[in-house]
Amino acid sequence: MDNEIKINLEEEFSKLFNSPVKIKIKKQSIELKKKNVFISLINTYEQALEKSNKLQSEFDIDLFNYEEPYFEVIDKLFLLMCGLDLYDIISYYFYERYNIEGNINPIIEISESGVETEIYLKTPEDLYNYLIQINPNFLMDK
Amino acid sequence: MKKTPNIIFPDYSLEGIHNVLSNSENKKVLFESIFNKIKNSYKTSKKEIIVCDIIQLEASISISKVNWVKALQAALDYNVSIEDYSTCTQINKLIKDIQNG
Repeated sequence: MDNEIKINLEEEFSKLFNSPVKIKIKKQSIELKKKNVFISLINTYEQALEKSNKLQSEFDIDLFNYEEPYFEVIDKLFLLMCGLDLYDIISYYFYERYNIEGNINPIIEISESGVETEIYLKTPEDLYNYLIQINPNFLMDK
Repeated sequence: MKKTPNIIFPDYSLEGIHNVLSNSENKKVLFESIFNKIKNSYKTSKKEIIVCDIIQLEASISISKVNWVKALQAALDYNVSIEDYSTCTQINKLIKDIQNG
């Protein structure tokens, strides 16, 4: 927080309450910080993919050969960070989540008793929540 | 315990902050928060109360225990100004309870 803002807030609140006040900066938990970084990472990656697809579909500009190494580097970092099982889900989220009609392909989970459950990952937060359900520590040791 | 109020400032100049804190609804919410938080904390080991959050800045405004009576006095003055004498009585009682330990 800007020091001038802090001074202004302290001055006006102290005047109103007729007593000194303290400005406390809230600390985000490490877990929440990591969640926010993860979600931002997924959002940025998705936006990059969308831009690339748009260039190809609307302007017929194919940058695949140019961009592929960058996406490959990020994919491999995801693989190193999360392990193969979670990487497969992240990869599904980026590349297989939508079908040709633009609808979401659900993940099908089959329980031990054979009951099928459809999981729809609509947002990066859904993805994070699903991954954390599979491995609660998937970001914590990094 | 009541939820900590969030105060929104359109800008953080002295004048901007002053305008928001002069708003009668905000004053009411802030002094209510002071009264309720101190009432719920003075018998505990808490050393401060959080009066309000400023979520835009991820910050909070707190008052240390040594200043609780002063803050309650300000809350009392405010309630006198709006002629809420029922709340005045409760604040007066709380001040006395704190002073009597």
